[in-house]
Amino acid sequence: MIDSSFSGVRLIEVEKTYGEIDSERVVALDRVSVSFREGERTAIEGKSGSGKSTLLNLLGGLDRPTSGRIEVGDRAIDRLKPDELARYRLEKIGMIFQSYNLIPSRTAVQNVELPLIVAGVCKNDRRERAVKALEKVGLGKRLNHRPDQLSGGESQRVAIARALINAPRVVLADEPTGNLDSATARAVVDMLVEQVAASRACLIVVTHDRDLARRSAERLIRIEDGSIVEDYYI
Amino acid sequence: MRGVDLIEFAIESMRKHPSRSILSVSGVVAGTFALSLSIAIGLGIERAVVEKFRRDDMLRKIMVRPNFGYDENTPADATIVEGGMSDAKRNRIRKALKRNYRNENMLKNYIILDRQCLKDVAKITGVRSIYPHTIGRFRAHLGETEFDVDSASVAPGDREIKERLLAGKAFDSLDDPDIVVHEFLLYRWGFRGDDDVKKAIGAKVALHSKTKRDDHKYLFPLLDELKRKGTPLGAFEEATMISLVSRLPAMIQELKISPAERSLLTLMIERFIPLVKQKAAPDRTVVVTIKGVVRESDEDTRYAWASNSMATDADVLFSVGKSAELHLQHEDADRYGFMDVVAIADREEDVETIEKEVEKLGYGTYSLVKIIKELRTTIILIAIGIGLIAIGMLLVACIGIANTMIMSVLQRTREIGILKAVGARDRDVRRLFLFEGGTIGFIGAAIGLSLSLLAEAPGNAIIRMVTPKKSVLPLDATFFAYPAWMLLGVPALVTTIALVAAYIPALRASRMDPVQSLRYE
Repeated sequence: MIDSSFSGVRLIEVEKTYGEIDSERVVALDRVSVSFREGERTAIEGKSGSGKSTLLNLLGGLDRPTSGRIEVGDRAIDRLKPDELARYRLEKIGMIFQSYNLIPSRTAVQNVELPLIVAGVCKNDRRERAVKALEKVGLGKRLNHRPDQLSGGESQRVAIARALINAPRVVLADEPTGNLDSATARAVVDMLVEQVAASRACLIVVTHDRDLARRSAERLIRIEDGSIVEDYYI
Repeated sequence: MRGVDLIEFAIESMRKHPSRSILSVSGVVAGTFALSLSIAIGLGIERAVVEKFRRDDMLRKIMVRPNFGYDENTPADATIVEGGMSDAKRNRIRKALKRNYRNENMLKNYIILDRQCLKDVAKITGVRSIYPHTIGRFRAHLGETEFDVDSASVAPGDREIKERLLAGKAFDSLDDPDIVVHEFLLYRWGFRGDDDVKKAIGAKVALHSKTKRDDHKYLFPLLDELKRKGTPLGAFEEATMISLVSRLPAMIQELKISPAERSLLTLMIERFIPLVKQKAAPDRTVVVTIKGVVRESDEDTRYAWASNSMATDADVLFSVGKSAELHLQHEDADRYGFMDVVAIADREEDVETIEKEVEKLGYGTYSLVKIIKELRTTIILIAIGIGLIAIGMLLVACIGIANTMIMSVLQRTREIGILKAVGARDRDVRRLFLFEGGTIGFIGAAIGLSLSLLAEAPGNAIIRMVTPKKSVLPLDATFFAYPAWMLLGVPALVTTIALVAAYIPALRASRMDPVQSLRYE
């Protein structure tokens, strides 16, 4: 069980390496130490392969560090058992992906319901909450549309609604506007910031778009070759 | 995740790939259909047969038979084959010697069913009642007309007799003093019209007990021929004839015939002399009342399995008690004993024990318990045979399910990643695919079982069509049984097999790395 007195996320000397390529181990993150405060909006920028997505996956509990420590509140999530880690993802994390990652066969409202289904919430309650979440992101009239009937912006808003449905304490967005045109991207980012601000969750956005980074965050971290090379407040 | 949501996911996945799902379900349907049908027909036939016998109270009956004294242990010196011959012939001759010895010695240990047998068997614990079956020959008089008639005994409640009853009643008790007669006997007596048989009810019939001497028509055709031609021998002539026959062996020796012919003729005459010379028993006549009339038995059911075949063509039917009483008045009663004796057990479960006790007394036994056991074994063997084929079909279906699930896992890799990203545990993912496999199994089992239930009516019709009417199978029965344990057990078994088939793919899905899954295209 994750503690209830959440007070941010902290990475201590976190290293992530992958299997050897040409007899050399690939270092995705090299002894990174960084903290994210509650309610803080941070943008992580860097080139492809710099390690920013790896960092996001570690924070989201989708992956485990090779060494080092990741603390959420006063609990080290790198040592959680698989089921505890899944619960951490369910209760504390909301993830948004560049490719939306919606289930194609499910409608918008059914996609938003997914975390609630996993949590075992009964159908009526979760439908009510999913509808409200979609209304908040302006998709009250697109409830029963499938992803292939939605535009890119709309799909990403469905993904945002899904990420926020469980009122997570940490929202992780991996290139959330990568597939959107600039106007839509701005709208989506504004909406994301607005929604996250309302919940006082910690927002961490990974992007290689500096404009987007500045638009969405108050803090900017730049990663190169698995190390943080810049970390400042805008 | 809740079960209802897992089922919803499973159905959604099946709907996404209808062709694949239909094929997988079809395999399970075929396997379940074959499995449930084989079980249902096995159970149904057994139940039908048992119920048929139980209805006639036959499962509590033990037929006590005389012990013919067959000695299977032929002494070695009785089977010595002399002379030179091939091994094959030697074996054949040895076999014949063994058979010959057995036949020659058969009656040395013959144990008849006499009055003592009735007393001894009646004392066995668990025997409720006991009665003998007897047959007889009488000269039956009704008014001025008389005929030779054959009689048989019938137990109260004999269904076959009740079914053949045209008028009056069948026997109420073991010792019913009245008789039931065949419509043919009444026809011979002049009761020709359909309703005339009713007029015979209550009529008095005088039955003159015939002795062995009277039976000479089978043994000594000359006397019978004379009688038939209206020139019966008088008492003096008959005595002369007997005397003549007695002296025949000596007379044969004086005939100018070959030794072989003499030997043959002597053999024949010696067979007849004791029969002809028997002392005539005093005449016994009993007057009885006709209480019922039975019709000629149907050709389809004549001598049907396990019926009282002696009663089928008998002209006169007695209750077993009355028949035994008349039989015991016969001078040869203690010499020949009863044909067979029927012991009724208190409970079906006691029959085997009673049979063992009867056999200890030296008698042979026969009961339907053995037949039922053999029948059950046969049915089980057939059911196992068909069941194995069905299980084979189910296993093939399971390979189909496993294949379907592997495809499903591959196609839903990204979905697995999404579910894990939003908090699904490994076990949730595992259950997701197990439910899909289980759903395929359950739907297939439900359809297969339903088809099996629908096959009952045409199945019954086909079995009735191909089954001979004299078969042990009761043609009015249903030959399929679907007990509750089967209606629940078969779907449970099939669903379990489907779950086993889906387990490996489900395990594989649950172990997928979420990061890799989310990147899967």
